[in-house]
Amino acid sequence: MCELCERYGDGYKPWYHNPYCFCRPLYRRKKNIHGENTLEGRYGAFPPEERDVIDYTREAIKAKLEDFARYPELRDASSHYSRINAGGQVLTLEEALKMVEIAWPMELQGCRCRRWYEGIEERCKEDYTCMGLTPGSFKNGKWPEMFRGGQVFVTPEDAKQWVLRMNAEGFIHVTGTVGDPPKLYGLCACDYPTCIGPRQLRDYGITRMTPGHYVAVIDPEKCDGCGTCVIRCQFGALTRMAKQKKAYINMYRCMGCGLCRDTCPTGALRMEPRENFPALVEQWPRYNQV
Amino acid sequence: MFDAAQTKGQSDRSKGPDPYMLNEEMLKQISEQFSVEKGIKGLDEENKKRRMVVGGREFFTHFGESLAKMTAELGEKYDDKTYEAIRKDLLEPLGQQYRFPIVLQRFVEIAYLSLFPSLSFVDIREGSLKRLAFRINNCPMYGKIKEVFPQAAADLICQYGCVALGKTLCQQLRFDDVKYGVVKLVTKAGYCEFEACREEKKNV
Repeated sequence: MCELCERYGDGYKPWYHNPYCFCRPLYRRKKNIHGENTLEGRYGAFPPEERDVIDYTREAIKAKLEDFARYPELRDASSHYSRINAGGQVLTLEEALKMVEIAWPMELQGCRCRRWYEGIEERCKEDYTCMGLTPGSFKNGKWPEMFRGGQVFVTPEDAKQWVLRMNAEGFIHVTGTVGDPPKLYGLCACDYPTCIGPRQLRDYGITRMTPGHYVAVIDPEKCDGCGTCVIRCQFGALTRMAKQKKAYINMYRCMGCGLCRDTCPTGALRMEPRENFPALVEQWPRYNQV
Repeated sequence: MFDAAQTKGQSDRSKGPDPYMLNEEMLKQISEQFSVEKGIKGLDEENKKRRMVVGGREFFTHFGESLAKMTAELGEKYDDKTYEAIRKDLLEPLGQQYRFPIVLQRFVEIAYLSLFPSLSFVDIREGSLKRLAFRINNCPMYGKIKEVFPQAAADLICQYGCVALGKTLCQQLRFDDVKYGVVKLVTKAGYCEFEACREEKKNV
């Protein structure tokens, strides 16, 4: 199992099915200790380490273009700091569906990332591609600019239908966490190139996201080379071999979202536990290492 | 849905009390009636009457019931924006069946934050539609009882107060299908943990 499961699973596997990871008190007595001018003070949602992530990522991207000798070190530092607070872990459809059985309350909201990076405003329930998972959602009105697309609380059945629709439309499910121990604040529906996780991974090699607990495996006997999985893969893990007319998966790139499996018309893809492949287990970050 | 469309784009973080937090006047009113000192004083009187075991249990049961009733009353009287959001954004559109566990969680937090002013927050362990569980770590009441009446601490007399608090809150808030009980006790686990479980309705 991944280190997050070891640390925070408390008997649950994976860790994001541990009900404790969803819980928040509604009220706290102590005042905000970070002050108004920090990210935490302004947004109340980001730990101070987020500032390190932003700095290292900016420098890594700049170095890739202007000073390549420094790029590997900055890329690795950015990856490390991104995951100090358990940067989003990739989920299969089944894992995401299980999460919406456990979480309460749940609300749909406009994706801030899409607004920031692509200028896409999501203003109604049918457009929302982000789900908040904790009682913290009741306080979103504190930051009207951040949540200006509004929010709608949903029933467990509605939440399930949303997860299924996001999957059908080709979005990756990713945990949204904050703090240490990580608290799940949201269920993201990510895609490339809009979202930081897949974008930074594919374009800059910055591993902001934590690989999921599964990897995709192809049965070449069943594969008819249609290429649907290649189109679906947000991480660039799949290609189509022109000669063999079969899909090929680079399992080192596979983050275990299962979009390929969910869309394959012949059932040629299946998800296997990452633990079955020792070399792929190495991709899980160790949080106490620089 | 909160009125984001009509905001002026200003962050609602003006100086002064946070409208999303509990009303301090409410917490103060409850604290004045229910505190660790009041609990120790009540135990002391039972001790003087040489009826610590039975009397102590009765005292704390009454203590918990009274705290719950005052919490239920003042918790409704003193609103905050978090509770307003729960009512307007969650319960009105989705239905009153979703009052559990979030409304119970609110009142549990009010009770314990009032009773223990040194407590920063209540450690919620589970908050699903089926179960609310929370933990009290480093309980000031238990700590003081242990200091003054070690035997009463060993018998964990104060647990009757917490159990009565939880059960009475469920009654006051009309959670008839919720069963409240103890999960773990400080004498064995190092903390006390309580749960409220929604009983599954059986199909007739």
